[in-house]
Amino acid sequence: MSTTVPKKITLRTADNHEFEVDEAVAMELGTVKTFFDENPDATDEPIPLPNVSSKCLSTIIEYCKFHLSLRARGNDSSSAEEEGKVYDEELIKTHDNESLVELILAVNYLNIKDMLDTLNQGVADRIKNKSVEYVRRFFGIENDYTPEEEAEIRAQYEWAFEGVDPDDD
Amino acid sequence: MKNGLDFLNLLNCDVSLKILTNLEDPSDLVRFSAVSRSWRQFVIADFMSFQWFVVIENGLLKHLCRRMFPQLSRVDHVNELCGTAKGHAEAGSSNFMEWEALKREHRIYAFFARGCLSFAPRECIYEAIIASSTDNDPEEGIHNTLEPRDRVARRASYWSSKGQSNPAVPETLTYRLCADLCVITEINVRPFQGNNCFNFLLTWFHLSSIWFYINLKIF
Repeated sequence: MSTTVPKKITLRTADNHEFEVDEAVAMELGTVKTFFDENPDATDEPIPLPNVSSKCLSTIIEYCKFHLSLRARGNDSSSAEEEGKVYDEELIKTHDNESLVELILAVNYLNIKDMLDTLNQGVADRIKNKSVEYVRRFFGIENDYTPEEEAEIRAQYEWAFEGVDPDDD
Repeated sequence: MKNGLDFLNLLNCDVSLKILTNLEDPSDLVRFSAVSRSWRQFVIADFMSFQWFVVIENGLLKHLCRRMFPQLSRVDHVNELCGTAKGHAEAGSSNFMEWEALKREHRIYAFFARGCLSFAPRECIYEAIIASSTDNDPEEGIHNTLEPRDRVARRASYWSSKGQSNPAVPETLTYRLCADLCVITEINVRPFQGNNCFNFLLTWFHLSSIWFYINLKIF
């Protein structure tokens, strides 16, 4: 007789907060689902998520709950799709650059494909037509070119550096 | 990310790749290759990992160009006419050669995207080179065909061949285009309207390796 998976699952974040969620919500997190698939006998102890902060996890749980409820509505697809889009846009809008990147890292670790796609598009929209300096700050990238090398690339592709949006950070 | 973590190093490459493939403007990809070395390698070679010898062969810019211009998927490979001698000292390493080839592709597709996206419609013909025959040179010379007006200095402006008794014998006009790569959207041909002239039956156009013809209706 195999142990039935508990209806509620507890997740513990890096900063030691515990979140109790419905099994269906937890199964939206690919990493958690894989854990249960591989350990069907797992006890109901909290699952540690060492790469996820409580701030990110609460956003992620909200997202999963919302999209689960949309899917549960089934065939009423066009309005559900529209609502989903509005929700996703709002999600991007309410995060500044830094927290968006932090969220991507968490969602990537938890392996939630749809949410990751949404966030990726959000990031791409924020860096498109931006200056090189802006993109460096956005991602915290250290410029490891020598000034000569960078000047060479800029000279070679001068046209790509013209007419970028002003940095708004 | 104030602690200077490199985002692309933290994410697996799949994610970074997806972010960058969401970009729709080639100039973004070209510009972001100046962000840092790892970004450059990433943009050019879309790396499996940041050890640059693990190269998969498709560049991001090439992919974007192919999405924008599906006709390009028929292109097998591209090459530059100059600058290939660079770096032969290290030719022993096939990874090095592969990387050089990817950089070359990146340059070419950047050039191509730039060419295709930045042109404003304008004359493609740089000069008229030669006509197979001219009745009265220069009054009826080929240079007149570049003149959009019908009359110049109170004279009709046109080119006329010497004429052939056999209508199957072709006459040709040869022009040089203003660049190695031109996107031709329109060709204007105006048959001369007047007395005592014999107009052509069929016009062929030959663009380097492409031949096509247009049947002209003459009213």
